[in-house]
Amino acid sequence: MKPQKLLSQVYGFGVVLILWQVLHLFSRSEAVPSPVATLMNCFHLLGSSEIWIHMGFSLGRLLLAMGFSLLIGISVGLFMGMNPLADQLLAPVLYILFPIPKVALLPVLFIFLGLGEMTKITLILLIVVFQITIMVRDTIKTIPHSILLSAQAMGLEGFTLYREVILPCIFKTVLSSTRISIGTGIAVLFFAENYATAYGLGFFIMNSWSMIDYLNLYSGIVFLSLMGALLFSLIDQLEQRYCQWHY
Amino acid sequence: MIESRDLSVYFGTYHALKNININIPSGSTCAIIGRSGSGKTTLLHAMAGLKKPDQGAVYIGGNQITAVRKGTSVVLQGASLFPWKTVRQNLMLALDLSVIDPEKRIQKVLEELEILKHIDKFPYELSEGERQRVAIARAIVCEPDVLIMDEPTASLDAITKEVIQEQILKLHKTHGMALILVTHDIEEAVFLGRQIFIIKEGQITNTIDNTLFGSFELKKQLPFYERCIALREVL
Repeated sequence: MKPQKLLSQVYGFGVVLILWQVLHLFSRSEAVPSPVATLMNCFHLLGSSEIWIHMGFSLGRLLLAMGFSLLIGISVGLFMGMNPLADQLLAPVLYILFPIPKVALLPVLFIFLGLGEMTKITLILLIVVFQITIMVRDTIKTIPHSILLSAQAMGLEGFTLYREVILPCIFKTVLSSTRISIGTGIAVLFFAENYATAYGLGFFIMNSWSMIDYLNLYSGIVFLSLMGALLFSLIDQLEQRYCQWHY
Repeated sequence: MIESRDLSVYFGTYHALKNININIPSGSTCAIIGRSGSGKTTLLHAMAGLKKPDQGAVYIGGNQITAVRKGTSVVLQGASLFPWKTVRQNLMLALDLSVIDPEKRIQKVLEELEILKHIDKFPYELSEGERQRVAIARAIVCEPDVLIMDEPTASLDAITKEVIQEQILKLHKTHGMALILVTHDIEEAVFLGRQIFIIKEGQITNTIDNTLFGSFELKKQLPFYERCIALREVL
């Protein structure tokens, strides 16, 4: 990691800690423990296997949901972006389904998919897949005509056209939509982990709340936040490595 | 021989090209010149196999062109390089997998165009003129027998324009490919076109055998400018 990047992350972390400390001092409530005490508790928790299991479950669910969402979102987005007829047929359906609050479907998902992992992963997928699809489709429509004509003139077609032209064109968008989707995905994950499971950071946080253990509650939030920050950082690395270019 | 026979193209009800008949000998050069909207780019696209004609056909070496032809390279308006690929990668993509020692071929072409030092740069790191030269390099690296260029020096400054025109002529003489050039620049047409076709409202109105083609000395003399002035009047 470049020193400037590291410095910016340390800066971000520092600002959050200061704001947190101010909130702690002004609230004068046990419901807002001090950041120092919370971080000490985090280090303490890392020594036990329990928190690792919770983190493993949450990360696994999120990665699986994101993986499937990207696979489906990119494929459908490409299909719609490259085929005007497919776009005409699918876009109206997508526009109706996209705004539906999918969290309301959780009971229905429990009925059809059971109480296992599939339900939680599907719920995240249902929420993030639409934004990925729409962003990919829209990006394809903004590819300069000259680039597509140039590819045609060079005889690029089929798989080669997708590999050499279309996918590089949408890669930045895919990274951006992945970033947004991770943020949304973590929020949905927290919600989904409150039902029919005893594992995951969502369960850990709500369980700590019900036991009035605010230090553990906040530690859970810190771990959830760090998980997101780690994934964002990985995406930044990918962008830095593969997206040096611009038009 | 490159020929178009009764070539017509419509955009909806608009008749963009009207029964175009032209013949260009193999290894020769021609300039298609006309005002904006006269149909010259459409004609170029039809000759390159990028636009299917509604009537008539284009033939190269006796074979009808129905799609992009291997052996025909195109330099489109505005360079059209792939911005996510370096100069080397842009050229590599134009080469067949069967080419032996592609790196050597790429370096040789870039050297001819005096841009070898930019081989690892991305297009956005280059000037407009350098990008145009990379686009030309990408077009000739696969050693085509027909090179089609759409306003290759448009939007360049006068000095860069002259350098690139001279490099195009040199490449044509070295590689021996037929050169079809679309331009609205009269001087460029007179300098690079052995034949000059004047296109107006989708029709070829004049065909000129240009005796002033390709001579640096003639370019500086009065007949060259007289030819340019005469062409301006026809246009």
